[in-house]
Amino acid sequence: MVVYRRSQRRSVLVLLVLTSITLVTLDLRGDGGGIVGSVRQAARDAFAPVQGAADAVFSPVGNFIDGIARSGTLKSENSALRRRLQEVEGDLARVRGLDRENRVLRDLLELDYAKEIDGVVGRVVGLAPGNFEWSITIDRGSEHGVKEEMPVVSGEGLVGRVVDVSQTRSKVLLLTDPRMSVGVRLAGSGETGVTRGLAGKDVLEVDLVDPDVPTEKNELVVTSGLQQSRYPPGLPVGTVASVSSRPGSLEKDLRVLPLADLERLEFVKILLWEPDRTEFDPVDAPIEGGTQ
Amino acid sequence: MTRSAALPMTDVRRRVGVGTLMLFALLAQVSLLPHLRVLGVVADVMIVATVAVAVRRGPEYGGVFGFAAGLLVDLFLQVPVGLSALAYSIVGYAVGLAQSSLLRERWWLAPLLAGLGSLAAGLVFVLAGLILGQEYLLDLRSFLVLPARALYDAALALIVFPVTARLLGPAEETTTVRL
Repeated sequence: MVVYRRSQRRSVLVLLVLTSITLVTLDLRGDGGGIVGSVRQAARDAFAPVQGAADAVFSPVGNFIDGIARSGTLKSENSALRRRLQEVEGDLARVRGLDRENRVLRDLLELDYAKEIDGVVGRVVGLAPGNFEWSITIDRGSEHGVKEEMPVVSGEGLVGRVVDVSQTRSKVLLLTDPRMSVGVRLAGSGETGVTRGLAGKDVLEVDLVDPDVPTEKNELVVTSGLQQSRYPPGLPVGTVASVSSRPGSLEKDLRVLPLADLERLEFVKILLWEPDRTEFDPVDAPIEGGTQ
Repeated sequence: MTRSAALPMTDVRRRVGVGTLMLFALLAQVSLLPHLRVLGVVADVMIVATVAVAVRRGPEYGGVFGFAAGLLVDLFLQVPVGLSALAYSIVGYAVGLAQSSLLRERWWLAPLLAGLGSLAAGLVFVLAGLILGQEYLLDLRSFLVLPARALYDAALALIVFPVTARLLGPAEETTTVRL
């Protein structure tokens, strides 16, 4: 009897493991589409209203806790902001609540870049529910014309790329996700490279930059748009945060700070721009298995 | 040895309890906990609930609950569907196997089991992900996040375990051993 019970228990575990592996295989082979993809999109749509309501309620709580946890950083930020505040004689004091929201939206509608590309403005309604993903969920989906692979920007610059779309929601993988790579150009020298997200860090690593090219701190970095890239050319990505070269190295160690504040996004704009799917630029194609 | 007094709990009521637990845990995981990051770490209430169910109901129940919980979480992540299901079902099963010899009445057991379960599930997730081609998981941060998440989950267990006990009723095997 005991032997039968143990064997039955083992068969449950074996069944669960085999089912999990089958699902993973189906999802990977279907490249995010198929039955598994449809179920995923339906689940996200079904949860969308609840998620939106919960987000509105809990977002201030999260900001409060985040503020406590980052008190050290906030102190230095605070002193810099105080100096800035004295310079502008309280001009910023008038900007609050809806005024601020309106400004963000206006910035998105009247971008200084990509003016010729149509876009859809969306509100950020969710953050990544896990520890191995840097993404946001926005309240715009296929019914608003959003498609996978479309670039997403804020008033300051590139934010990320749409990786999953349901009817009313889209998931955007942020620049800081290690699966994200973007072909970029240094605005000063014209040298090209590829940014890569560094999990949990607010800067991006830039690969493939020639060590002999002169590069300055704070130099602007924009999307290269080379060879049917996934991004249109000229989207601001960030500024050079640090440059160094190791003797004998074939590339420069370059870190870029994104222009967009990826931790405090409220509204973003999805550029209704699709890359030419016939020939991808290998430099910013997704890393294998990265974004199914 | 003591035999605890069990309140009558029908299968229907227990199933409703499991469904309620699953729904609220998913809601918290997707909507609440991402806003309650501590030093950038998100707690995982789904694995804590899996461990709590496994402790009360044994390996089969723990494994199946873990599978369903993991599957639901995977739908909201950009990972292959089934990856968390694999990790959570193994942990749910293992905790369920161990539960019959545990001292259930010690207060520290809930956070300890939840922390260890969270750590184990995270390691299975990362290792299985690597085998399945998710190379980005092989990062120093992954191995720093997992212990931090385990601590966070341990704290969360102090809330989730009593809620689970209330929803699921007394453990299936009510024999408890005291030292």
